[in-house]
Amino acid sequence: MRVRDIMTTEVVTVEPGVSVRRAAAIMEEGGFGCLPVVENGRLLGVVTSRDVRSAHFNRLVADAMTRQTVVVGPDAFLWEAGELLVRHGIERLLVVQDGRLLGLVTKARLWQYLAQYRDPLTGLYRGEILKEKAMALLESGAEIAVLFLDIDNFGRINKKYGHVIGDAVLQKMAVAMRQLLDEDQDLLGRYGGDEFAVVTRRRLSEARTLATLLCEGTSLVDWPHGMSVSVSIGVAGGRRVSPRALEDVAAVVSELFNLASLASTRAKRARKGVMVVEHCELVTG
Amino acid sequence: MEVASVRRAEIAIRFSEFEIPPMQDVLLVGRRAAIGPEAARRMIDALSPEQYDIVRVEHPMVEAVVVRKFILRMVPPERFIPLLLEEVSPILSEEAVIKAQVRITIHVSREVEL
Repeated sequence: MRVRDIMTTEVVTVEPGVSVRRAAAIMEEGGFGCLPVVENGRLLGVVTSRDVRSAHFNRLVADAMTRQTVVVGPDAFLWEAGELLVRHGIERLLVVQDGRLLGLVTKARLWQYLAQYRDPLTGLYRGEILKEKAMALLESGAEIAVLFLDIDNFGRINKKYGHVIGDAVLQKMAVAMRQLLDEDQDLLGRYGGDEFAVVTRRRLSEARTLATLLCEGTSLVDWPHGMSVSVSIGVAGGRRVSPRALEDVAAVVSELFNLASLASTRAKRARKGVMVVEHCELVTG
Repeated sequence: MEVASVRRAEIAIRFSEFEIPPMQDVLLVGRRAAIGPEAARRMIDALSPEQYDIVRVEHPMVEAVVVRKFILRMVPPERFIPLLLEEVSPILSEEAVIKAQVRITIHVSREVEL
């Protein structure tokens, strides 16, 4: 989901030629903490309650506003907007394209949507956000690989020990994998049921090594009831050979997840632990 | 005994020419002054278009200096602005807008062969 899907387009703004006194009255009347300063549709800055308090009331807003404004593009992902809000400690984010103000998103609204991106059981990202992060990496020119992990015989664990223990296994698996990954280059998520996925910036050969490490590392965990738990992992990645259009990126990411998922099924059938799809072509154009 | 009350008004009028622009050569705008540099620019652009520059400065009390372009052609801003700020310091405050009159004389002395 992108910022333009949830932004508010009805934004109260002020022109740079109005007085600080007038801006303060609008802020008080509407209960706004800040107002975008707009001239002919173009965003010039923001006048905040702090600006209003520190400037003479006779001044023009243009002479009191904050010029350095944190903005986000309409096509940014929600988690990108969320990261901006956290990094700058702000409550609202203006949505701007080519210098023109399109709308705004508030922290509350953004958080409401971002909460849906987290799996409540494990605290990991859901598959949807993993795909979005993979798309953002590809759009930035990075190469990626996808690891698709499936817990072997998880249905049997649920039947033998019950779903409460099954849930505990899933939680413990999430913790174990998190410890084995490098958060600077790997992103872990729960895809669904007993399936997890990792989007990594590692090369395919390094991703294969990581998959082996995950296989071995998770088997050494002290599982409930002394049970033995293993995973099958499919890895898909490839080399980018030419620039791709934005609309291709979503298709490429879906293809990578699909290939990795199929490879994990093959690894499970072959009881191989790790199966790698090599030299997958990431370019459609 | 009744006293008659008399009310009178005395009116004094003084005419003088309005200076255009009313700010002469330089205007120093304090950081918390009642008008800011943008307001000054709009006023000046309306009264004397294209004759003044706004130089924003890093100074604890002064936000910007509005200065006649002609002056900056004679003395570059990196020389003129620090000199101006140094001289105005004793009477400066954040709330003040101070105008200054500047006269620049260039002395030239050359020798030619006869």
